[in-house]
Amino acid sequence: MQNLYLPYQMRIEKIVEESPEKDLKTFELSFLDSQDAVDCKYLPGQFAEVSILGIGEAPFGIASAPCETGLVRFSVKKAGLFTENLHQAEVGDIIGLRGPLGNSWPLEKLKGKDIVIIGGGFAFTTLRSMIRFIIEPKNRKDFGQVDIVYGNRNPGQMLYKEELEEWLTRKDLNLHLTIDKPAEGWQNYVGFVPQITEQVIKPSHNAVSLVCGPPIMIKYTLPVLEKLGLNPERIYTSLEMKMKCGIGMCGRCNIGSKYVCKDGPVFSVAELEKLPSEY
Amino acid sequence: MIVLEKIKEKAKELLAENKVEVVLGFTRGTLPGKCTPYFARKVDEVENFVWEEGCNHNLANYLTKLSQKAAIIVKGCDSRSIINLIKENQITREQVYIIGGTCPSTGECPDCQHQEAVIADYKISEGEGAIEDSFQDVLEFEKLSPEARKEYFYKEASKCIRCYACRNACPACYCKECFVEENLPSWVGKTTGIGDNIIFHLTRAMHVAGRCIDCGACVRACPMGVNLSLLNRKMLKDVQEMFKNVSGLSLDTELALNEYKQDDSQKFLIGGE
Amino acid sequence: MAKYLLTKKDLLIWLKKLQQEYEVLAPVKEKKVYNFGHWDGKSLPDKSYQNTLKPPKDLFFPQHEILLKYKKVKGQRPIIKAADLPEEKRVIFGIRPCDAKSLSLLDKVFLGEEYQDPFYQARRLNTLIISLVCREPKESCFCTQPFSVEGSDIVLFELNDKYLVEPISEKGKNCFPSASYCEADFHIIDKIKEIKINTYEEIASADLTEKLDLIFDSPIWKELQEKCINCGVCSFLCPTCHCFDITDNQQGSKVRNWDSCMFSGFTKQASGHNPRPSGTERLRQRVMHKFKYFPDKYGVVACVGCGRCVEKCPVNLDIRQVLLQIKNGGEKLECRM
Ligand SMILES: Cc1cc2nc3c(=O)[nH]c(=O)nc-3n(C[C@H](O)[C@H](O)[C@H](O)COP(=O)(O)OP(=O)(O)OC[C@H]3O[C@@H](n4cnc5c(N)ncnc54)[C@H](O)[C@@H]3O)c2cc1C
Ligand code: SF4
Ligand code: SF4
Ligand code: SF4
Ligand code: SF4
Ligand code: FES
Repeated sequence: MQNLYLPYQMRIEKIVEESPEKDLKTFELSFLDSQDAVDCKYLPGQFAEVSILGIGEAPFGIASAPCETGLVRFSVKKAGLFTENLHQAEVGDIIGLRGPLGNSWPLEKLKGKDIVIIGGGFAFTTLRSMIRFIIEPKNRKDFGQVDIVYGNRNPGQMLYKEELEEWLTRKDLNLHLTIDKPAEGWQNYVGFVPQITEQVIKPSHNAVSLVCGPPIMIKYTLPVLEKLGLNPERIYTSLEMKMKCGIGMCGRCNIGSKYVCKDGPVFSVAELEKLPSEY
Repeated sequence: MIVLEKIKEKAKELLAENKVEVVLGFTRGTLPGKCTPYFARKVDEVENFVWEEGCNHNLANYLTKLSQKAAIIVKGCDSRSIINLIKENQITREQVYIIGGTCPSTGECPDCQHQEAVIADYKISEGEGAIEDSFQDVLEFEKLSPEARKEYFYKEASKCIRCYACRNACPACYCKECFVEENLPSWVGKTTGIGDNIIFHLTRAMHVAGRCIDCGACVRACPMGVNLSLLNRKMLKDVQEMFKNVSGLSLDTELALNEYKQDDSQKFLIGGE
Repeated sequence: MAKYLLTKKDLLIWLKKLQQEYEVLAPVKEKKVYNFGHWDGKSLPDKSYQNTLKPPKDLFFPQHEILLKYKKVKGQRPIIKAADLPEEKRVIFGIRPCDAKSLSLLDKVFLGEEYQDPFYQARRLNTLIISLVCREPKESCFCTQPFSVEGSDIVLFELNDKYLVEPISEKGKNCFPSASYCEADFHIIDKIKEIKINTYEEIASADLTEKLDLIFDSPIWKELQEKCINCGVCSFLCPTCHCFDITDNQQGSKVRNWDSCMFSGFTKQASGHNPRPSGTERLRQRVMHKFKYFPDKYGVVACVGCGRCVEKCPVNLDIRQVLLQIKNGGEKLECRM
């Protein structure tokens, strides 16, 4: 019997300060035991419990993609006990990882479809994983046209800035970056995510959309997507509830009869419409 | 007129004339001998009130959570808690209409010193007045050796399952976030190990010292039969001796630990008097 | 299934024999209250035994349990070890049928298809459950299946000075030397009918689940919860409540502790956002989880009617009354004094 709570041991290889406010860092981790890297197979959209001994554990969406072998990446916003401590960690420190947990973005349902990815703020993490997965040469032919709208309050808050620069130049995806208010030197869109989505995404009956961001952004984006011909069965989002076990036992993360940790975190909007609005 | 009729009459009047939106009292419970808190919002709901053995929960506990103007039917201990809540700015005097009586449920607290409400807008009965607390139980306990006293508390605390019913039933425990829930830093572990349990109970006892009025709500709420009474009453006796203060009797005096006097007793400090 | 007739003496001899191989736990009385404890090898619960104060869940899912132990070593990788699995072989004697059934409900949570909790699993495998059918229900009970064998390996009926023993599971059959005893005839078995069963109608019936489906947004929750003080009594004493928290302590272990959906911080996120900000949502969660969500997921209600929450709620917020009020839209349970 394997102990469900035993974490993989991970070394912090790289820490990237993502925002000028210094409250958002990306951690790149490698497995201390090479066998763990083989065992820990994950899909875009899944999350993991990251742990610091003596402090605790917290769930984070996996921001790296399975094809980036040997490393796992998370982007973490400072919020409370665990995240404060993680932000104090240094390269070379050893932390734990328990997972992968939860379902993933609906890969089967995305195959052969045009894909509309909409992200806001630091919730871009697992969307980044998905995009990275799609543009991997051996996977790219499985998907149709890829459109991405990614918005933030200001340019400084964009996650993965270097990578975004590269993506802007790519022919196999259309990246639309936007910020809420004009800023000096900003060359991309200005406006809220729902507005820009309406502007740049063409109506489609074949597309599937993945949406992740602050609740207010999601609220105003959904009607836009529906207007563009995406019905609730073809819009997916990833939810956040307070979590502890991540395996459907501790009873904390349910919305109605679904445990977000095990039955989610990814749900279609059609599924969510059937659940009580308690999240 | 019998007491219950007086209560009902007053409650109906207050509701009918819109002087309050809700009247807090008791109705009969579902198990023999139990009464349960009841919130009457309509005149005809007033008929469900009872005032009898089993009406022992401390209703003042609900006042801090109610945003409406309320009337409350109180016995001695609830009224004393209300005084303390007003003094600690948790509620205002104007917010609550007090219907005061003499405790109908002394079966469980035979040694009660303040059966009669000490503050009221409307009195439903005249009681016997206060009796001096002899602290017989505490005096006996103080005679024990430190080891024996420790053993006693450890035995009691080891029964605790940390359900926090004692804290949640206590009108003095109104903190929005209790120290047991804080995690930056975390003051006490969440296990029911004896160490964590002792820290929980001692810290709570210290925190309600000078404010606890010995209503026994915590003891009655406890499903495990943990006897917190001795701990509370020891604190009560110490506060009374050191600071000449019994809380919850008057709106005009300060709570013992809320004011500082040059000649305060230092006995509670390690290496004090 | 076959039932065997044993005298009190036979029963003691058999239990003594089991004690040679197993740690036998039985209801032990201390200050008028029963809890499971080490069996003294001679006494059997008398008429005053109705049920234990604490449910038996803590024998499988203890209130706090070490999951991992770790040691940080400066400059080296830390040592992290899974806590040892419990190995003790145990018999639990005298558990009530409702509580035995509660174990089969906990199994659904801790021994799921995808994940199995190793500690719970080890204890379940190492433990033999011998249940003892109630003689008459308590004032607070509302089980409708007093003869339920679910979760029991062996079931015992008390008939005056004799016992009827019915082995249920393979495990139970292997531990009971049936060849040494007489099979009971139907006259004796008929006596079981004299055991008083509860007069309650089935509270958690199908129409309740249907009703719950419709009233998520109803104002009834606010009204029902008004007197609730949001403590942990009802969930901690409930044999089927399984919620827990996981924390690291300073002594080098990761610990799991019982937690409750009635506590204010249960679902509060770091941002301060709380999907269940007040008592209204919390009571609704408790009722919904037991009578709607759990049935949705596993096909059975997560309440066995043991009445612990009824008896011990500090403000007498009676779950039977809550359910009746939901079902009948307002009607209250009369006091049965
Ligand atoms: C599926 C999922 C994916 C997530 N992905 C990311 C991500 O990629 N980047 C990121 O910055 N944040 C993410 N979060 C949120 C992140 O988990 C919380 O910010 C974090 O748990 C806060 O922990 P803390 O100890 O700093 O805060 P505290 O308030 O001190 O929390 C104490 C404990 O409560 C729990 N907790 C508190 N808030 C949350 C929460 N919002 N969600 C879950 N558990 C919580 C955790 O167990 C935490 O350790 C995700 C949450 C979920 C559920
Ligand atoms: S009510 Fe009793 S069991 Fe619950 S926390 Fe208080 S002392 Fe412990
Ligand atoms: S909800 Fe109450 S009656 Fe039902 S199993 Fe739990 S404690 Fe027993
Ligand atoms: S959610 Fe509430 S009712 Fe359900 S198991 Fe957890 S504590 Fe019990
Ligand atoms: S035991 Fe009673 S007061 Fe405590 S949470 Fe449960 S229903 Fe509320
Ligand atoms: S996090 Fe424990 S059930 Fe979902």
